[in-house]
Amino acid sequence: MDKVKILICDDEEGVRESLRLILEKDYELVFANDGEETINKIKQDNEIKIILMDIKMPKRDGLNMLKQVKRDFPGVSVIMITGYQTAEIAAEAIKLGALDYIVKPIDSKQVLTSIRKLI
Amino acid sequence: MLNATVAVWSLFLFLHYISKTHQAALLTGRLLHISSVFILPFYLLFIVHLLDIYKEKIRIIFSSFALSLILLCFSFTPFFIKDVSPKLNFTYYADAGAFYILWIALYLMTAIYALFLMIKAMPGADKQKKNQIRYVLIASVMSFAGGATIYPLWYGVLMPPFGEHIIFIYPIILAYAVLKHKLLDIEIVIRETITYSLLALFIGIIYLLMVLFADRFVAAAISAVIITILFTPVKTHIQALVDKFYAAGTRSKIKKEFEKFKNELEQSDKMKAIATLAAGMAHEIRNPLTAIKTFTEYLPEKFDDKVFREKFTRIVGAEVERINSTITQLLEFAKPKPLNLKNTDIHILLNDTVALLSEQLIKNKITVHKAFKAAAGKMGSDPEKLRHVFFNILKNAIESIRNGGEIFISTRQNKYLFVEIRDTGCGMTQEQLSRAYDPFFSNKENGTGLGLSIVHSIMKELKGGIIIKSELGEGTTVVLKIGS
Repeated sequence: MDKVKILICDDEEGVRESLRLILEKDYELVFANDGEETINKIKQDNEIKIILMDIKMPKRDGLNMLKQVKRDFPGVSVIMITGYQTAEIAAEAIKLGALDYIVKPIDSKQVLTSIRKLI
Repeated sequence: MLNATVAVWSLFLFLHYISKTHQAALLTGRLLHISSVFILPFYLLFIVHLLDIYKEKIRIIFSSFALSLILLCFSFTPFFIKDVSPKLNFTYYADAGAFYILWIALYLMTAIYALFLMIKAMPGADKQKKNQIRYVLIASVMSFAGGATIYPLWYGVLMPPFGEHIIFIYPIILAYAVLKHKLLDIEIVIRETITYSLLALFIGIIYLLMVLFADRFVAAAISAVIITILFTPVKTHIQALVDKFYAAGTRSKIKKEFEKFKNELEQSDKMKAIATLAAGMAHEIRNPLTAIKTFTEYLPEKFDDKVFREKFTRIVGAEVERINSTITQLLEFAKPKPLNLKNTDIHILLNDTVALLSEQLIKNKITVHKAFKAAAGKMGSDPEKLRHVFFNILKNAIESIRNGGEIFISTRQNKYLFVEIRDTGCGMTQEQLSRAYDPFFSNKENGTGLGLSIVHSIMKELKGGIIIKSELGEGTTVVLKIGS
């Protein structure tokens, strides 16, 4: 069986590389630096099933992005990652269609469980 | 008003009782009616205000005042008080005139009507209102009943006016209600009491002067006329005087309140800033923590992987450095160093700062143009803090330029020294510009968002100023005003 393709969208190399370490064994990974790159990558690659996306990013914030992804690519599941631990942001993300919400510093087991639940 | 009329009435009643001469007793007996005829409409006015039915009952209030005014016209005629004569233990006590029955009728009607209004309003009132009405009701019944005992003797019925003592319970009950059930705004009560006490004093003085210098009935008539004519203008003047005095008293109070409010506002502003800082801190520290945590977790498993080891060293090292730098900047933001003013050469400072950034300028293919037009450029300021300001602004300018560009630094001087730093970088949107000084708000990928916050607070501390002009794609201009 082919590996599920996941798009990781975060502007920080440290976070991208951490997620690579956690997920590279079980999943096929694609990376994006910002919102625009994320949209382009989903457009080009319809095999992307899951997106892990940071809420705070330059140019366009993650919640804005989430709205567009859910509108233009309803088949793609989105998990939000954030350094802000406020209930309001989590609630807003879930309301906009995110399926889960991971708080930094991310826990490898939580990331894996969260993704497995979606597959 | 009600209390004032009752007070004046009580004063004349007392004077009436102690009058030793026929003339004085007749005068006080008549004078006491000037206030007593107004007790009823003022009482009614108080009741409708208490029950919040003033608007609906305005006609009745007017009628009551009109009737009182008509009665007032007869106050100094034998139709109201015929004469005074010795009765019971009193040296002199008033004899009722022909029209006196009208006053008693009005007295009874007002009492019954007011009691009816209060009882009617009771069921629909809230708890506090109910308590207020209850106290006023008790006080009213006692006063009317007590007051009623004064009048039989006027008609020669030999019943002592024992009930008048009960009337003194009335202010006690109302005072209790004022304090316990917020019957009235106590400040208004104080204000009004001062006004009407002064007014009573004025009436008393006129009366005394007349008694001392004029003749009997003439004195009474003249004083009544003078009091009637002067009552309103004097009242207005006294009221204005009291208000002025009171306002002066309260001005300091208002200032104090304002200071308190301002402090609370500042405190809440501080709390908001702390919340923003905390949220920003969380993000700025949790991001590098993610990398440190994950790389450490995978270290045993991937120890032999050369690529992993290379990434570990680079990423974890940089992230630790980043946390350290965030904390350093935060500390500087939270607890700035004290101001250290000394003779400062702005031009040397600018040159030094540009030199400090030369490596980045070359790397980013940026040319710096200098036009130092300020005469000397020397002034009393804090060079360390200014260096920090210039460094941050120049660093922002460099980072806003992507594929080579220019930075223009100029100075000019009038009363202040102005430093202008303009770049040909990417610029900012109006939304980004409006948040430029917010701590932890950054347009850069790896910015902490503290740079301009610190610059802003330093410029404030130096009693200078900063203006940023920027448009997306058009570059940014920062103008610094530095005072000595």
